[in-house]
Amino acid sequence: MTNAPPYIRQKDSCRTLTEDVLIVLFAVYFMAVYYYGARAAVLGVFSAGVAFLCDIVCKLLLRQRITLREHSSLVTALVIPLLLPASIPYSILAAAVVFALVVMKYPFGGVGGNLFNPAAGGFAFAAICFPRDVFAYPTPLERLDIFGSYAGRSVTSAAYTLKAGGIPSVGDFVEMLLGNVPGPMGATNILVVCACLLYLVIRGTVRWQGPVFFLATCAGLAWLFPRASMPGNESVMYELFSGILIFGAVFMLMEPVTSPKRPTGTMLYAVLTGVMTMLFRRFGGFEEGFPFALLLCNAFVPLFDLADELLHRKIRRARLVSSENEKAS
Amino acid sequence: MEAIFQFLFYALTAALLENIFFTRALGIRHAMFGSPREILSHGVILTGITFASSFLCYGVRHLLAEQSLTPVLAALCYLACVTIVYLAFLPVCRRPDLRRMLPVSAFNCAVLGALILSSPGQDSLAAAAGFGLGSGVGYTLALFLIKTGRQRLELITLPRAFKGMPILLLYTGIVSLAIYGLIGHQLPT
Amino acid sequence: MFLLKTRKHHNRVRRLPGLITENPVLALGLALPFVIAASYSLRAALCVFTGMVVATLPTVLLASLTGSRLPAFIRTPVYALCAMALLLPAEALLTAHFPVILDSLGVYFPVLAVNTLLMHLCEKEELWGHPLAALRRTGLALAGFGAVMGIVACVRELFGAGTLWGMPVSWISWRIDALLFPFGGLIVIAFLAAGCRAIGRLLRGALYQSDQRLQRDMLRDAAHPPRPDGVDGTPISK
Repeated sequence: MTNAPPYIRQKDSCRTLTEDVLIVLFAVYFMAVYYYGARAAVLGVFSAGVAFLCDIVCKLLLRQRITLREHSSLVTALVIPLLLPASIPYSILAAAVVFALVVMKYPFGGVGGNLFNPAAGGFAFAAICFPRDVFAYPTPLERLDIFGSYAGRSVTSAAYTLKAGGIPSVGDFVEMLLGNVPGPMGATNILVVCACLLYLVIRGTVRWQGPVFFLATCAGLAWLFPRASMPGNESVMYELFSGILIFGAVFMLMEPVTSPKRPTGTMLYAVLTGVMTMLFRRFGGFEEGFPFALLLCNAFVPLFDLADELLHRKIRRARLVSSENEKAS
Repeated sequence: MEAIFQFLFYALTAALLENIFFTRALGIRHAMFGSPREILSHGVILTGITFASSFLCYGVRHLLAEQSLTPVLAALCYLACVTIVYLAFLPVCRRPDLRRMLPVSAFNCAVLGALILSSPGQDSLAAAAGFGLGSGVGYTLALFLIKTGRQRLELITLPRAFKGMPILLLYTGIVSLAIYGLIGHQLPT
Repeated sequence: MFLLKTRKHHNRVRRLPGLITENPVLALGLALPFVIAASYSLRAALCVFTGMVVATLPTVLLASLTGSRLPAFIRTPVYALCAMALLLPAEALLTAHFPVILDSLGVYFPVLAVNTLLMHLCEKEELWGHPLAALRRTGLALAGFGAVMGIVACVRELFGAGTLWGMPVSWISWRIDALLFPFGGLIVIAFLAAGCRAIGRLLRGALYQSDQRLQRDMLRDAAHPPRPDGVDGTPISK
């Protein structure tokens, strides 16, 4: 044998999956640059640079092969700035990326070993340590200085208003779809993010059950239990379009390493994450509870796969018994 | 009816929001080892002892309400209550493995910590009992969650320096970070 | 196998069990709640360490004297109640010097009476009937606990609050609030334990390599012994 294992090859690999995600992330960054200027792109490049350095240092310490063919850290590094405001200081962004890779990923063995979503962990760390910077947003279409700290007027997002029990006055449905509202850099462009979801589902990078069941659960709970006195439809719109709910459903919920491997397990996981997200949003300490809910649900993933296996064993056993009974009769 | 509501409310709060394992790191050592059966036995005994002791501690608190006790003196009284409950549990736990586990499950930071923490806020017996039961149940569920994590970690090729206790502490820390998002502030000690 | 330096190092560190090898916190996972949650400042760490010493040392001494005589079911409650009684004077002493710190420690001071380090040492049958050995073993374990507690408290207070012993440190301009919470303590201890393990392994590896080099040199000298005389190696004629 001259070739190295595995001998059963699939056309999908870690590299093709991450390349699909990188392609759609560039589309999201394009919109972020449109709204906030070149600073959005520089934040992404800076984050990627920090992730590259962390990769090299961690792989040298772990005596792993340093390769440029593996892009999972790049995906994490490009997702984190999109969860944060465009006015975020570079030091906080660097701290979030370093935490995501050095604490959430490499101690668990690196690529394919992390049990928790690194981007969610990096955001959670930044939100706890620097809440004033993480939850204060510049106005869209305001050109920010590429370097240096933001000197303009920061505003709160729709998520903050909902948390405080008010009704957001961010504009109409179309403005929220197009992302012309204050919020995280990449998460407000709902239309673009939904187009990204469509692309990833068609390419097979993301299973459709995850985002669909997650968003359906969030929408259902928002309709049944609105946080402010408003009709159910409005509550659904504001809840889904505020914060990083849809962005998280597309880019974080179905991360291949940390999500369940089976369809039924995926559905259960998505529903539980939806319930936990809405609970964290209503009763939690931060206006954005999705990353914390995702980290908690990542801990339950093996139970979902186990539940899926047990359920399908029962179904298969029942089918076997019924077919044997038919043969006997 | 109000008593039942208080009981359930404080039980849920103790099990989820103020989980003594994840929010206060009490009783962490027992999460490092043990099969599911050992975890279940330990958890059931611990829950029973905490629940029963919470009744006695409530009585002691009301008896000594006039005295200004220092925290350690109050804890000494609670420890005496735990000892009484432990001696009452001894005839019930006849199996050798349960007998061996009983002292460990009765006298640990989780039980005493739950009893001390239940004292400031709970004015009624239902609230105190609910907090005691919820603490035990929440602790047991936390142990099972950590056991799930341990099983997953065994399947991964971990860096040698992190194998065993370090990675388990890191895993617990990340779950604790997630739960902190629900609380949003430092809990009173 | 030639392991001269490795064995010397091994024997040296084995003489202090509990301090370096078998460290109660980093190796055995004992007394973790105090290092995780109560080590948010140096002063809090000192209060906890004082309570730990006052509660543990006499109780382990008592256990070494009475352990074999007490029935198994009564030993643990006796140790716990004894340790709690010993904490009363410690509480009075610390209240006089650090009232605010002791109050902020909350539940973590009274539960010192039932900590796993105390129970582990009291139940060590090899120490029963040997009070001096028990005192030595406990002293080393407490020193190991104190060292870890001190290091973690320094790191957390310095980078979490920007102070040391309550005094602001001027060169710290950036604070990481997450270090002051229990999950921050868990992450710090996880990395400290992993770091100590890695350093220990590197040290043992370096000593082993050094032993191998020494062995190669000795074997080479034995095969080709150096000539005894002359600058150019020629024997000096008599």
